Amino acid sequence: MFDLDLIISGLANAMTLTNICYILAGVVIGQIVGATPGLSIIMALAIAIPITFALDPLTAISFLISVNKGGTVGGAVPSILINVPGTPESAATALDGHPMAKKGKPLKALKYGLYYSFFGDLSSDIILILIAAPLAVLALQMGPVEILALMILAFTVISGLVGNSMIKGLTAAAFGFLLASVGLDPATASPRFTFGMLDLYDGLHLTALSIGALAMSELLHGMVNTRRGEKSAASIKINSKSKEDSHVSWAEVLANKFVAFRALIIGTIIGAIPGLGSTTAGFLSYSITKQSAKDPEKFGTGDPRGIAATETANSAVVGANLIPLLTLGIPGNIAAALLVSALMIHGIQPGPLLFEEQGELVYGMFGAMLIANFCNLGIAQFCMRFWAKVISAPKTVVFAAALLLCLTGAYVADGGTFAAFIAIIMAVVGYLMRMFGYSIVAFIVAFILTPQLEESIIQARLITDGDITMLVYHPIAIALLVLSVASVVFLGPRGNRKKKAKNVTAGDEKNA
Amino acid sequence: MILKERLLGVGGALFGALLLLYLIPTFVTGEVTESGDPSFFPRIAGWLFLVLGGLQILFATPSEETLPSKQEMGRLVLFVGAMVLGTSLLPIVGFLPYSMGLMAVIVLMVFEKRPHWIALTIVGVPIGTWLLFEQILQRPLP
Repeated sequence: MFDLDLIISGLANAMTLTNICYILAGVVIGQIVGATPGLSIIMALAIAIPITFALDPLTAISFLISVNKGGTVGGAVPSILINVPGTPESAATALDGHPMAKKGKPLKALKYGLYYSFFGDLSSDIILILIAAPLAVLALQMGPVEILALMILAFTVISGLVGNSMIKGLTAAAFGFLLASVGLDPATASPRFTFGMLDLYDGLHLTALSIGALAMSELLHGMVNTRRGEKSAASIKINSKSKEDSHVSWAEVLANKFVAFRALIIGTIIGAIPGLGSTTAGFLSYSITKQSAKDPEKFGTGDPRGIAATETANSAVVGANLIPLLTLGIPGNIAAALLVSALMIHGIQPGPLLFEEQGELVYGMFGAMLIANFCNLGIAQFCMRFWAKVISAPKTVVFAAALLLCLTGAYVADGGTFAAFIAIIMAVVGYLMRMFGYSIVAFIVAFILTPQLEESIIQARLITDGDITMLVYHPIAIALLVLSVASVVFLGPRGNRKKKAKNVTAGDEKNA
Repeated sequence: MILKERLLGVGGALFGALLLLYLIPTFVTGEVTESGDPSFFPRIAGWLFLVLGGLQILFATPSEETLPSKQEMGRLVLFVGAMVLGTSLLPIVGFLPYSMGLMAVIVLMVFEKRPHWIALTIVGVPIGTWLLFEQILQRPLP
């Protein structure tokens, strides 16, 4: 697992010209999508998956990771310039970024955001690289019983943390289980809910389903709520003439080093917990930084510490949310779930075995993540002024173009008009789920994990002979099940009350 | 809005009962063998719907989500109808006419009036999408 040759060869694979070109393209697309109000990174990832079919696995994953990273940087642009977050995770950036821009320092605010975002993202990637392999070794000690208990824990935690109600979160997960059971049963090859349709024998295709539920449902929401004569928000012009107002020196960046380090720790921990996301990290970090400051009254007036706290924390989530994915095979949020689907499309099953079976790919992916960070920094430095113009693109055109890309993506990805119809149906289902407060994160994660869960249940039943008392020989599984019960108790009714008071995770449900 | 939450619970529980009593026995027809029972996992989902629906009825709390107006629901039906109709015609008319027609309908429905943006959406977007998938990615479109 710690073969140096493998690590070096993997990292070298990331540096091919094709890979670097796709990383650059991914970063540019991510930054544009992030900067466009009305579009989300998740939407971009869902649409981008069909584009990666023709690519080799490493290039495909590098491209998708770059889109994700670019979106985090791009999302800060509308937050700062028009006080409308391009992506939910950059909502907290507007608290101090926009006031700084209004003071005549829009470029300075954008550069502060970019530098701290780069620091948070790069540092959390390094943390991921350092701890993922050792954690995967530990995870490999677990058998089917422990894995089953771990999945139950993951579902209770995710259902409890996203959305407003754990009951609704678990119901959404049950819906994911149900839809994932459509097709041939993996053990007996008997058809389940196929209704005599041959197209359903392979099950519901993940790409069409995720494009519909994640991207098209959001587009439908945007289009349905478009009002006659709606105009784009007025943007602050980037025309700072003095160097002082447009340049950020090393001394100014380093002045907030402790704030940034604390935000990095917050973002990394939040990112590693399934179900939480960048929005929570950004707001939590901002809140802690403000509370611990000697002069909290300065926050909200364009204080660089506010930008450092939010941008470092929300970017640190991007790398850290791959920790549960690579070590346990459990996607912690939707971006990670979409990466799982991309891996599965290329015949790769994420999880602790990935380091043994596809070590070169994993280290190649790590290399691509590091390259993407530097591309993100470089491209944003040059293109920030251009992205400032992108935010004024009319939503009407953006929605229509994105919808056509979604339908075409579903069509080419999963075999024709049937897949396009699945995407349309799932768009309506996703729209209704959002409307009634059911978690799409829990639904998608359940859909993706069901085959593995089903396999674990069958294996666990064989190992224990269906006798629940055999669990005493599996202390780790017992500990995980106790944690699941505790999460139901603490994140269920109690969590609901806290969430209603804070209402922080609403944004995470959108982007988690 | 607690009534809405309870009704959602009723709907969930009824769906669970429907799954367990009709849909699973009718549409999951494989035999139980030593390697497994094909209805085992769908039944877990069915029981979850039933139990969670019951819990939702008992422990419903007022939610923040507001129901859409009739106008919004009408617009939703129109958008979905346009997509379904367009996609049904896709194999017959081909990609470019389909996408140009769909874009024209959507642009009208989102009240866009500026000619250059309308032209870009109806002509530029379909051609750009066709170039991306058909020419660059080599994925055949009808």
